[in-house]
Amino acid sequence: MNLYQYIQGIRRGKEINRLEREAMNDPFLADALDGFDNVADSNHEHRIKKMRTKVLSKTKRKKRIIRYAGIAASLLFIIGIGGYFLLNDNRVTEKQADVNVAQKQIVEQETLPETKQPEVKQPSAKPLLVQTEIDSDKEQDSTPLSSVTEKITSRESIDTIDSEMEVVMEVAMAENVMPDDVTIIASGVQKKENEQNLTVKGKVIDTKGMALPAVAVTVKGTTIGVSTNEDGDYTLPDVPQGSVLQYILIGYVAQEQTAEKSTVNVVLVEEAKSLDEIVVVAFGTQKRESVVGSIVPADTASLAIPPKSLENKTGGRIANTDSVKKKSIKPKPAVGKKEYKKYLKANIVMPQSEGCKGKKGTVKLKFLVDATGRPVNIRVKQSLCPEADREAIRLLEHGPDWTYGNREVEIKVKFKLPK
Amino acid sequence: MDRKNIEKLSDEDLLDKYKNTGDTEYFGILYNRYIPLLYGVCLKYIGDADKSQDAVMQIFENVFSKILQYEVRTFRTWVYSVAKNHCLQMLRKGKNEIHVDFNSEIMESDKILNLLNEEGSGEERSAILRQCIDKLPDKQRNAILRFFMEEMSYQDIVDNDGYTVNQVKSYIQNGKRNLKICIEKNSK
Repeated sequence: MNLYQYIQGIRRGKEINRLEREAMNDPFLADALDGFDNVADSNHEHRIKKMRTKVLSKTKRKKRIIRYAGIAASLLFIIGIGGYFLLNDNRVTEKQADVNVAQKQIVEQETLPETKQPEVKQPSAKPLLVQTEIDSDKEQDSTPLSSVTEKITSRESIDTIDSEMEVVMEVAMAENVMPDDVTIIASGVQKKENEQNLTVKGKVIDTKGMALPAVAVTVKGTTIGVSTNEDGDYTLPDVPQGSVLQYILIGYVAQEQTAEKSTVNVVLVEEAKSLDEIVVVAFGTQKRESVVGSIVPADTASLAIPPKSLENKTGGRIANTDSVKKKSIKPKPAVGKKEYKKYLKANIVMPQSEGCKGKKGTVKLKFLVDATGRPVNIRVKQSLCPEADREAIRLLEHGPDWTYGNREVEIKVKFKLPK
Repeated sequence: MDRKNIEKLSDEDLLDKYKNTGDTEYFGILYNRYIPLLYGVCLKYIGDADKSQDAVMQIFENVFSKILQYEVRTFRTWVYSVAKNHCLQMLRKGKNEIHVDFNSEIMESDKILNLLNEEGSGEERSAILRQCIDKLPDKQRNAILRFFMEEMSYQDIVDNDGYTVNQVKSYIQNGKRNLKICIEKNSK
């Protein structure tokens, strides 16, 4: 391309003439050429290379995180549904967790054109057998979901033009190895006719334009749903056209949208109430017969509520009891307070900017901990200077896991900045 | 991912792929195509290589987070206007002098270009064209002929005839405008 010659400083010859003519009809190109004329720098080429590498690495890294988070979120969601159904079933008293059948669909995506893979014609996914094993220690008070190992083994035959494909996959949550291009979703009802179903994608943001992670996006009246990833993005496959999507996040006004287009972006408005005024009522009623999904009897001790009184013992495990609100669990650093302090000390990067010079003091952060042990809804309670605030948030966001709790926690990060 | 096939995809195909699969690498490849042009645009408005480089990366972050919210038909024109706005906004914030963009107003339709490029687009028309070229002031005629007939670059013309680049540009621009007026008058 002769634009590169131009960037290198070459201004003579027919090639360049062609480029200059092109620019007469193309303001974009004309502006760019003017720019390279205005600023003489032998390094332009090198700079472009650097920017390209940066962009590629940013989009590549991001990809892995999104995939990982997406799959992890859907697995958690599946487990969550299991627990949900269990809690509403009075008859189930068995303690040892065993296996039930969940219906799932595997949606194969991203078949690139011109690749040598056999073309898949309507991948008629059959229901898969999913085994969920929950190993949990009976005596443990608060077991985060991370102790749950889930193995998914799927066998599925797909009609192809000339060959039969067999897909066997295993998803291990502990490892970072994720199968490419596979999205797992839990679906309450098995759909055989997909003609009128949509894949709905979108982004959920707040009124300030910030992405909202962990928003529950569900099809109203069903158990189909996903949660948004760290960038507020979600993908909800197999949604019947015209059905109502619900967007729910604690602290925000829930919203409903009709699924008519393949892209539905939502802005959630913060609820006027402050967090501690929200009462979490545990669960509604649901008959077992009406549930199609995984029903997993689990060890009651594995639930994160340590029973103290009779009321609490039944709380959350029997439908329509709401004693959960009385019990507050404070999240703690999973590695212990001492270790966490050590981490802060070892990893803190003192800000260098003008506004922060010579400042001394603490940044106080308030936040919640989600079911995966990660801090969410981080707010600055006491600010020092913008860069120090950001650094404190960075430390928290990238730091060790926390134990799950339902209360807000506060941490202090001390800064002593050079003058 | 098959790199060779991806490079062949059109902008809009890449964008669709990104929207449909959520694979951000498609977007990275698409944005990379435009880095040289975007960088050039920033150089024009900002006038500083370091700041322009920063601006291109800021625009990337901006566009990356917003692209899924918009129905972008033509990525090229969209990203151009985003970049231009971004650079102008930066200038406004820094209270620097704003370079006014004269060029975009003077962009001519390619009618004349076609007339000059295509040989034998009707005896009558090429006769009119020749007449009109003859009527141009010397410098304009010379620049027009060199640029469109002899396929010389601006710099080639500078080397040959001893004008400055800006002079050459304005001779060609004015020449084109005069030609257009002349041809329209005589065609009726």
